[in-house]
Amino acid sequence: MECPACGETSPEGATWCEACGHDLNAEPLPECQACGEREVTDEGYCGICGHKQPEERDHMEFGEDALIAVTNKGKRHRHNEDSVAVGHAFDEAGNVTAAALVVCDGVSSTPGSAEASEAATKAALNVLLSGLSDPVFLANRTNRTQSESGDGSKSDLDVLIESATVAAQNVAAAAPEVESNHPGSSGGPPSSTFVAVVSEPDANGANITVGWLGDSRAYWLGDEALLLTSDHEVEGSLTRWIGADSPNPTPDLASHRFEGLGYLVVCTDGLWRYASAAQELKELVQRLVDQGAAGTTLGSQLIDFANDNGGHDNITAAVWTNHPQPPSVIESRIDLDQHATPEEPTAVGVELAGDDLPEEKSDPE
Amino acid sequence: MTGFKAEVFQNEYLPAGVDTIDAVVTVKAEDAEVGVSAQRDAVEIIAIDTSGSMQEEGGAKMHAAKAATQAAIDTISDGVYFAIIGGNAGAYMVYPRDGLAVSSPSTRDEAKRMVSRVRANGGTAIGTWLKAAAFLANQYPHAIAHCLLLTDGKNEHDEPGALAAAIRDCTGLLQCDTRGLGADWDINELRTISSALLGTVDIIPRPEDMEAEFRRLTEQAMGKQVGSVALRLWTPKGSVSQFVKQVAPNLEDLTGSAKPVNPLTNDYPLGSWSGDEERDYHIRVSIPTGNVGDERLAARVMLVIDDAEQPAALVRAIWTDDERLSTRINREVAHYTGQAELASVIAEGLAARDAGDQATATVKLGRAVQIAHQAGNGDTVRLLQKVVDVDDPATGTVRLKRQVNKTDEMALDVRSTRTVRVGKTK
Repeated sequence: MECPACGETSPEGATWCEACGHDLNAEPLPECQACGEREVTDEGYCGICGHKQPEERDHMEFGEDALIAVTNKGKRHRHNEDSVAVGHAFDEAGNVTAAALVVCDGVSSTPGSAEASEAATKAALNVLLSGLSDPVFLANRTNRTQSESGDGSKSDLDVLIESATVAAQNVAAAAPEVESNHPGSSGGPPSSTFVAVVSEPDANGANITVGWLGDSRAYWLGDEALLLTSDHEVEGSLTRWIGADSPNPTPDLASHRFEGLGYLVVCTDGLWRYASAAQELKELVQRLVDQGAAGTTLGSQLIDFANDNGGHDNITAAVWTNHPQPPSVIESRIDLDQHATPEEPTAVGVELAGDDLPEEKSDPE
Repeated sequence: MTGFKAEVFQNEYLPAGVDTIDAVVTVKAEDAEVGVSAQRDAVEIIAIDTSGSMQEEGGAKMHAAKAATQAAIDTISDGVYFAIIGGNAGAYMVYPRDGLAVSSPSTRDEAKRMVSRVRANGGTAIGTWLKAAAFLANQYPHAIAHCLLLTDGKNEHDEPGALAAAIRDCTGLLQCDTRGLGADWDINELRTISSALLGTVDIIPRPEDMEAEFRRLTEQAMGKQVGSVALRLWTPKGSVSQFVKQVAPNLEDLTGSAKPVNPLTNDYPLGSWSGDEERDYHIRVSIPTGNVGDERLAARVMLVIDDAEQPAALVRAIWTDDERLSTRINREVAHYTGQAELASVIAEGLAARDAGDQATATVKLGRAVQIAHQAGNGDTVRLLQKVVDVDDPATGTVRLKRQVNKTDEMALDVRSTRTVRVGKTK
């Protein structure tokens, strides 16, 4: 066998190169994304051209077909501090009852926010999917039209989103503070925006419930195009967020009934700053769909759109739709459905565990 | 085993199109283990000028040189190999008769006795003295070898090229601190020697200052615990290392001393270190530019001790269109850029003064006063005040003094490369 370091030939089965002492069983170093040399070091830089190798968090895509999520570092920021988690909830028969989407924009001026936002999205999605799949909860939900008649009282779903927010706040507040001498760092504990959305589709449309803190947004883009959230922000500063120094981690809540087909887009300001008005975002999504985008392709094209406009911030979008998916995509969904079981919901980016659901949520009124 | 800690200070953000990055690397030896120096052989050689000029001033210089050498001998630790060389137009052994002696109370007494018998006469051939030191050090090539060389005159009696050849013989073999007594020696000559041999150069203005200085230098040499340290610098393919300079405790351009390790890596010899030493380095690298948003490793700085690499410090380059980031001035880089300017304006100011160009000398030395005042180089300010009258240090308004002591001018010149560290004010 040939030594990858010096090229000398050693007997088959040799452990060390006899010429240079290179460990012949050693894993080859990863290939540099910029120059292709296999010299990438533990520090994440190419040992030949010096290029920093992309971090896993720089660009991530989750899900497929009707429920996807994408997140990207953008062009200006050194790290991606956004996080996103999406998943389906199932009833006991294994039918999809709801989709849950959680997006967090970790504040880049407080170091350690990527860890906080990631933990928060996972914790919140965990609470949402466990709650949404709970038989008692599902039984109560069948009577929801009465409980959500607009009398101002909280629905079971409002309470569930609030407890998901509590879970997100708890893990974000526990994220360790990181020291940094970076010029963009203001110091302070890790912090993040938070938006959690549950969509419950039926034959005629969808019921959508949103809870949020900060300036990450949810949009419904159907016959009507509507912004479902209102930013907690004054003169460029967040007024609500999650994290150890949050003055008020109570989410605002909103519920909507939409008839017909549409796209639910949950995103950070890295995307919406370039298409802030709901109608504008709707036209963008429509244009991309008309060009054949679907599933994660739609997601990555939304990222491209933001980067083409400057990529000033981290970019994250979670998309759910009740539009029928193109044939090529439906095929993969059938495949997915065969593998998805009620015990293993299609949650992406999270480890699901039903046993750490907060006590009061498992037995809703 | 002594460990090294390296820390990088830089602004890693570059505007689009800029390809040059500066960084200050602070290197600190720590975790010094007691007894390391006992395990490692050490060689101490003292080469003293015994030329005829040392007998001037009623023999005061020779008398002081003997006393200083005897004080230095008392400072040599037991077990250290040592020798005393006498220098004139040739070099001769003062002690021992040949080779090196092992330091003990009796050999030190014997050496001091032999020193007291030295007579001053003859010329000055510094290259020959160094050649003798190299010959002696070569008997223990793996030891930490140090030479203290004293002269009161210029190198007048060497064959042409002999000094350069002797320096080459000594390079990598021994470190050499050079000292000039009085005002009749050549700063550039001694600076060339000490720069190449990783030592220091200074003036000893008066014979009575010699004893303390010799004792201090020998004590310092005895404290060296790590022999051959090198700064190993990796830079990416297509890059150019513009310079590698030691910037503290004194300025020393190491760029020319690079020894290639592989096409992307060079070693810069740093000589021996004591267990608690701290030095700063300023490196400037040009690398192929990246796009806005790209990050590249511009340099990896490692310390190498006996071929073992110590953990690295990383110099990064990140291209940004955010001017708030790319225009930030790094405090350490700015400080040492100022210290380098200070050294060069002093040299230029003194050269202009020698050439009779009073206007240039006033501007340059005024600027020197201003930098030294702002950066907290109190010693340098005091040296400058012996050459100029300072009207306003903040603006660098000065007048050249009419009468300047030659040794004061030389002290300013030779000490112009001494720096202060960041944050050390007044």
